Amino acid sequence: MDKFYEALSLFRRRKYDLCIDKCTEILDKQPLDQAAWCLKMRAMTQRVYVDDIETEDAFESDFFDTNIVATAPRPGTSLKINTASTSENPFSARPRALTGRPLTGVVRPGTQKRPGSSLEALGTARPFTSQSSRTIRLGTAAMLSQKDGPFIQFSNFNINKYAGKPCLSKPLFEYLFYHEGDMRNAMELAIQANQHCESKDWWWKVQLAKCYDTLNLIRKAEEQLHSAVKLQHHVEIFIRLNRIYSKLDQPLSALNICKAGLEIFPNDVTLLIEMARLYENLDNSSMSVKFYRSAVIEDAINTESIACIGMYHFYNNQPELALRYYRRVLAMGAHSAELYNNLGLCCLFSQQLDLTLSCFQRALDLASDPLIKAEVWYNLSHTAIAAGDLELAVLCLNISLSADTNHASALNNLAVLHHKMGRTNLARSYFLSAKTLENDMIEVNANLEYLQNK
Amino acid sequence: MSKSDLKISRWLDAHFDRSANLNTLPRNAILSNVAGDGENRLIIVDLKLERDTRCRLKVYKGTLVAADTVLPDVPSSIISFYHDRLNPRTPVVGVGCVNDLLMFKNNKPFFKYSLPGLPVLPAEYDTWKSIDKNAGIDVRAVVERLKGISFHSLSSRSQQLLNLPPSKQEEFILSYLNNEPMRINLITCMTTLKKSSQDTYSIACPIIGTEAGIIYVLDPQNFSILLQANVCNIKNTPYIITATGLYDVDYKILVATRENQVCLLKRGWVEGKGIIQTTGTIVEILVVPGDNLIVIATTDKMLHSYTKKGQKLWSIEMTFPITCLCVVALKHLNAYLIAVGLKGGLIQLYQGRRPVDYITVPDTPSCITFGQMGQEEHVMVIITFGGAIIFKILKRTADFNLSHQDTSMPLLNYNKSLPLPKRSKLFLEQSMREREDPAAMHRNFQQDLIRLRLLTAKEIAQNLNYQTGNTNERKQIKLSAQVMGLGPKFTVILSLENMNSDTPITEMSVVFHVKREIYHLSSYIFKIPMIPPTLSYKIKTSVHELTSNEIIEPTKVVLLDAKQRVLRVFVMKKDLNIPVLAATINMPSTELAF
Repeated sequence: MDKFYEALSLFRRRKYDLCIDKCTEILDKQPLDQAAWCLKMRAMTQRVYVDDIETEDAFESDFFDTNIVATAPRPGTSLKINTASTSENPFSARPRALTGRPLTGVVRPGTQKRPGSSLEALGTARPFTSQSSRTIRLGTAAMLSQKDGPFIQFSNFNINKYAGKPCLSKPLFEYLFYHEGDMRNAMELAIQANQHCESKDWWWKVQLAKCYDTLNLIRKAEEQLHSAVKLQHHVEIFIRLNRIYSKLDQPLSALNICKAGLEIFPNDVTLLIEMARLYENLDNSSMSVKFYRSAVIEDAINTESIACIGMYHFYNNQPELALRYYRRVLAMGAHSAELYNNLGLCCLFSQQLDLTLSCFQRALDLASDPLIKAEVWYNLSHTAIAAGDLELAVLCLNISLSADTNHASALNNLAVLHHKMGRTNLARSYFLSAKTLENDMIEVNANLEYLQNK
Repeated sequence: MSKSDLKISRWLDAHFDRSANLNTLPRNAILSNVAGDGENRLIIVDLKLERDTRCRLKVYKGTLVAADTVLPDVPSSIISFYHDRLNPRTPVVGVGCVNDLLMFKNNKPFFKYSLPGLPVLPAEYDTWKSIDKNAGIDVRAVVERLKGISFHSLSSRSQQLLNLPPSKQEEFILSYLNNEPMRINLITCMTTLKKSSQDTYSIACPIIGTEAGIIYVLDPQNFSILLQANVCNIKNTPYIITATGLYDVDYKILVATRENQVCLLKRGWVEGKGIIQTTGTIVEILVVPGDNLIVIATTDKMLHSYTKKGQKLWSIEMTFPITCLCVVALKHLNAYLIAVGLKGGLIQLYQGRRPVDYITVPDTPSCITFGQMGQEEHVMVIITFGGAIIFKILKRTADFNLSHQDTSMPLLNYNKSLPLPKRSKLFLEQSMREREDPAAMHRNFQQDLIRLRLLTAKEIAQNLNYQTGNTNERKQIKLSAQVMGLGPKFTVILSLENMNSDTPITEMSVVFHVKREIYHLSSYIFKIPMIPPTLSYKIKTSVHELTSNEIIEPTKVVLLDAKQRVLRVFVMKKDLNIPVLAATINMPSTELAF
């Protein structure tokens, strides 16, 4: 069999490592075989490819960010105000993530911190660099496996030569962008290729925008995307524009972009979910749920939407509806501690008591992360309180705290329980330590004030 | 509000005249620019109800009486308004006397407007008409016929007749025979309503409430009736009336009645609607301009607050009966306080339902008014039951600490029910399960609960065995740790807290236990000094992560296992071979991006 055909077949079957080996064999014999070279690039790119629309960390507030237009934005026009909810239903205010963002139904980039980083321990919303850790290549085993150094030596590489060849320039760009993470060269290539096709290829404009975005030249990226969208209507461009505006903290512009996108691609799930997320971040849960619902009508197995609708109902005092949505998620095959934990809570509050504890038991069995474990025990304490067993609730909270010493809500609740049992001094010290962990927590401050005034 | 805030009064005592001998009821004192020179005068009605005394209208310029006019009868209320656009702008003072609105301008009588009389009942009318002057008067028959009609609906002349001794009745009848029988329309209360603009100098319509339960709105220019409306669909006697809004645009007239009801009259209505019913008799009613709240004081020592629509917001019980209320408008603070005069001589100032200040006066205040007087902007005039008149000037520096209290003010919709969604059909379906077999469900839950107790006990026992957890409840020591820095250099701050309220902690030491190849600490053992009860002690140590600095071997995995990135902390007591407290601190990984 022809070796190249074999490599191509391997590529199609997504056996990228084998494909790379085959291509290397071909290239050893014929170092100038462009087809093999290109295929190898593609295979190497595909091996590490991630959908960077979904993985990019959303920007957290940055004191030095000069791209933000308004420093003191009006309510409802910024994603960064973490004051109390201004929505129409203040009593069903959702709890907030540690970063002050509204809590969402699913964990996705931007809704939480990078796991395992020191930021997590600090509990602050320190800004990230625009380059997430994904693009930073470590001296990993993969690198060492290339016996004679890297595949392409970019130090003496004539980018200009390849910019004019559309067949090669695009795979080369992706290789640079995704595999090498070499933004400088990738951008150089994109600029030259863009010049070469006289700025008539929307694809290059989007790539250029991607590069600008990574280098934090947000306004330039916006420019490129706007001109790209004039050439070609594509969902990706709308999504990227929307992300750009979110970065610029202009959620209303982002919403407008999404609306324009929805006019061209009616009922597009990605755009609908994008809008739902924006509304969620703007604290407008009812609008957010409306869009999640539209997304579910289009795509009935969209876990994110179902989970978010479930959570909306839960905090809207309709746990029985939430239970139905979470059961749907369960039926679709999700199997995690968080899901069982949510199911347990829904059962508890919709008075399906006999199912409550078995759900929590499963959640405990599945929880490997001590943080999740802490949350499950925290919720179990609520079950104990509901059953009227305060001693048990105290024990549960103690276990929760030993799993996660920084659980401010658990400390607060523990303090309340101790206060109820008459141990005021203990309660006060727990309140104080909860306050040191989370200074703006309303409950702790109110409780401390109450203790002080007594 | 602590006592220390009040050591220095916010009010200056400007004038205090114990011998003024005034007798003034609420709403019978106003501050108005009667001379047209921009300096407000105090105009009060001095009621004298004894025989051979006359009620007087007094105008105070500063602390001196500038004008003193005798009134023909007992006045009921007093208002002041601009009735024309002529310069210099001088308002008229209107005094409601029996059925007349007496108007004074420049302290001189200016105009008198009499309310139209009310028709008497046909039966009474016929009785009076049937009396023939020339024939003999059958006094007894007339009296009998009048007694057949209910006393309240008779005209005052018939009422008077029935109260006379029989010997004087004939003479009385004769003296009235030539007059058409009419019922007098008694004025009980008055207020003003701006006509087309909220400007201070814009013209305003007088509004008159009468004993018969009718409200008249008069045209200020030609004193014709613009509007006549009933207070309520049932018999209600107005006795306090307040108005907000503009006559030409939209307005609301609130009327407190003797039947303990508050009626609302809106533009376009010809009959008011009862919106509030109180248990006690209403002493005073106010509309607080800023929040648009209705504040009502009742005789049962209560101060109630309602929304414009009549929903109750809050009630507070006073220690003494309330005698009068007054709005203290502080425009420069954008605040409206309510002065509550209490029996005994205490005047409390409330913002919302929070007391912010108090003033004491020698005896019970009977009338309070607040506003500009002379050139001074914030003057409170207090007239007491003993007849004293007191002027108090608000200090310019007084801010009543309002800004601090705003944040902790309770929500306005305090009594509003929580907006809970309705129970869904799904919930009912789900609850069916419970209805079918509640016993099994309960049993199941109890079983699970017992299992949970066991699980919890196991977990706690395990934690105790490992001595983890940050608190030793028995010894009442709490340990908390904080990790600062992004690496490879961290700072760990340990805080040891003595939660015991009686005994200090002594002879303790803290020992750090780490993997030497990963972390290097500035110090590993700390001697802890005595920690007095309820205090805490902080220890700082700097941690240096070694591995991320030196790339050991390229083939080795650089990232560390999370399990290894821990510091163990033991709190030891002298002569004890097990730690009092042990904890692990999960160290963050070094931020490679930096």
